[in-house]
Amino acid sequence: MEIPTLRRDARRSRRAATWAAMLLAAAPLPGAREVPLREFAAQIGSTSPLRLTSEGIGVDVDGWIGLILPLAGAEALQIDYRSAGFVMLTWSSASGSTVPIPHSPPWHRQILAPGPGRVTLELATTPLWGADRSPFLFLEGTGTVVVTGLRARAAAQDPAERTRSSDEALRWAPIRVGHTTINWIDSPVWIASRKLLLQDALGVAFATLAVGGMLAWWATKRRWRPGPAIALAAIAAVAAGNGVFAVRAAPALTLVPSLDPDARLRKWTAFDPELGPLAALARGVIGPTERVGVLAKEPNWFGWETLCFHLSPRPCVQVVSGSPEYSGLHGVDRLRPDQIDALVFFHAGAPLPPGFAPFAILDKNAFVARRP
Amino acid sequence: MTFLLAAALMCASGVGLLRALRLGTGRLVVDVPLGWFVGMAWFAAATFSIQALLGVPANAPLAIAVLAFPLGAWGLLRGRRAGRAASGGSGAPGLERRWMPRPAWLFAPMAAWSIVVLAAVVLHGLSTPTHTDDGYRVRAYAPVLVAAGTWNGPARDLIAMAGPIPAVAPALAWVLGASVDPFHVNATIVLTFLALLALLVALASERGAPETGWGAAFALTSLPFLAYHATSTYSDAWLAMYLGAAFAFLVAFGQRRDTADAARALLLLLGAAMVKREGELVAFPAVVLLLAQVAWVRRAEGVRSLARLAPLCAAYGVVVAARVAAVGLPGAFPFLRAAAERTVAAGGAAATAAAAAGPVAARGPAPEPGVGTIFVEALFSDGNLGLLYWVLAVSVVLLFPRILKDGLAWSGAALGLIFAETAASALWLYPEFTLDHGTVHRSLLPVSAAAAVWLSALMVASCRPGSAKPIPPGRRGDAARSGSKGRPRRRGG
Repeated sequence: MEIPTLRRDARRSRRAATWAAMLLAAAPLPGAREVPLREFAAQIGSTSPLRLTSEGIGVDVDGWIGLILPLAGAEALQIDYRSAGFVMLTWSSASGSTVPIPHSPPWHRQILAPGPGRVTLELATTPLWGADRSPFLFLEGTGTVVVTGLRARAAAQDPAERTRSSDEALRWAPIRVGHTTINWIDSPVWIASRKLLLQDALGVAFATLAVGGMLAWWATKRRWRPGPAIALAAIAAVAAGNGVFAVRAAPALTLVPSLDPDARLRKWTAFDPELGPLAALARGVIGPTERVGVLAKEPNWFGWETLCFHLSPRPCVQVVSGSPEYSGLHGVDRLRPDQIDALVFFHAGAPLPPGFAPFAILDKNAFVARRP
Repeated sequence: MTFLLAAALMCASGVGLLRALRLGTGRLVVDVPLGWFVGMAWFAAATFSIQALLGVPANAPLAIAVLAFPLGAWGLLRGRRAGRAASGGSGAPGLERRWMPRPAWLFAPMAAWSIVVLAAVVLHGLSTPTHTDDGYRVRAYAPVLVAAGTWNGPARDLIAMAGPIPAVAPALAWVLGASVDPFHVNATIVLTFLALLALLVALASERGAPETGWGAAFALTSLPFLAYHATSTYSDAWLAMYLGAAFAFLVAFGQRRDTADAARALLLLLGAAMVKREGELVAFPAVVLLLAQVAWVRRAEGVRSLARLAPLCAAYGVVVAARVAAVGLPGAFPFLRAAAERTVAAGGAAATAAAAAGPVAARGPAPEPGVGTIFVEALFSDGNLGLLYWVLAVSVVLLFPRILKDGLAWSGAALGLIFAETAASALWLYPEFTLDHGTVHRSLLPVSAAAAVWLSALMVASCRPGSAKPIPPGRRGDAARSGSKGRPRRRGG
């Protein structure tokens, strides 16, 4: 079953911040040089075969693909692309063939909206970046991406200039909401090269201002009244910190609420390009009293838990091959294999259990199946 | 739409309860946000207790009966109180209502920031998927179980883990017939954030000190992690909001000594106790200090001073009994169990080390490396809580005399105890979650919200010239006395 409204909804719900980001991304990348794709393609390290087309370098995404671009020292990339399907791009940097865990904080990612597009990738703010490292691209989901243009901006040759540029980038680096944000927001840095954190700088400034103001008051008025000096210093320092936070947090905001739960889910692609749309699809086609099994790749707990959560209060369990009884979230629901009415398939990498056939399809890795 | 209707019902029920208990302030602008907090607590406590103790699952008639009960009680008591002095109104006699903080040039940007953050929290919170960065939320799944009437062993564990308020309050619209949309959990938390800021500003303004309210709103909205959590479905922000609201009344009681404020603070603290498993632990020291404060302040009245608060504490006993009935005694107090296990483990380790290494090692096991450093960095350097602890530390040291003078000592002591408890949890009870940064920042949210409210009161008090205490008739104030020191005495008229 096709979902014709899916992409229209996704486009309609583009938020202001996304538009701003798109405008910024579409702007030319200052100081960048064009990379000739034909010569470049053969040098790309890839976990899956690439193909050279008349448009550019094409890649089919089926699960995930990692690419190491031989552009050591690049601090920013601009990529023109044509995309189809549900694909999310994560970027980072690699040292030789060693790459960091793709989703480690701060997680730099972007959904590649279907159709032609342009994305600007800031590398200097990714984890472990250094001038000797190469860009690492990690594509997840199901679909096709053709890179039609590539520009790269190299880090400054002068170490001092490079450090200054890196410090500047990290100071104003946008907050990137990831799997760890619920536990902490990445610390704001003021001068990264000196390991000076913003709060330490502001804290010392506050204490100095407070004590200085207090002494000044005492010197001029001959009265011990520390309150106003402390209050003013606190407000000034806190306001400065708030300003930096506002600049860093603004790109992460989504400010257009959606009242329809399914539309909201369809546009949710923050951590996975297919999971939100698949949850919305499943909610739409699975009846409120049907019993559901989720067949997802292990140990990908995120997928099945998210799907079961959004399908609740329908009884929902994780399907584990060979198990006589399946268990749901927190062990609340328990079902035997023969009790399952509908099955949600999500990148399982395993065949459907006997008797089930796809019924509503998002793509080949994400669909709903049921017994005929 | 159903959610808004449910929220309005919850709020009305809370206002009814406040009026029935004669704890309304007489001002709707204060009572409505306060009613939201109290209504959630009442609905959650009653529904959870009825389910756990009587086996009646949440359903529409029960929900309506629970919500209507305070309103009915208020109506009944109002009739009986007719002819007596004005009911419910323990307003603010003698205090001039004032809405515009002074100086305007200073407070206008602070108010603007608070409103911008509030708007961002509301809009972003209503746009963020409920599951955000986790597959599912214990606190978002528990209301679904409540609405579905699922009450098997794992479900009871989960609901007890979430606490009555996060488990029951967001489920109201679903219980009344709306289809389950986990998004109501986001909306409930966002609404609580809105209610907290409204309560702080309205309460302070009604009592003639809008600077305290706007200052508290600014301090709270300057905690980046609290703002983020207000948009998520974790309950730490919820706990923080209940505690922050409670501290507004703890501070007010310290300054005005009106027992109604103490009772309102107690209601909110009991609400905090019903958020997550640790809510009870966080609220406990504040409740104990509040009761001690009431007993001390009203010592002339003897035991009667606590008469107004005792029924509230007794009512909370029902919730505790319900939890024990739901998950058994060990499951009802997991932190006590964890603390006991930790103590035994530490004692065992110390004894083993002492036996092995003699008197040098008998001093006890070495502290876990890095835990203290991580905790201190979480307070001062990491930025999750802004500059709160820098300002708090400097203020407590330099403004200490004002803490005593302006009636902030008891609430400050409660804050200190909650902070000590948080530190003990991070450093001793669960150091592994501090080492991996798992919960150290989140666990600081409740005490930080309370600290922001308390600090705002201290700041505003310290900027007022002289003492905030009213000068008894016929006596001269400190400033007047110190100003005339050493001068010749006037004689005659």
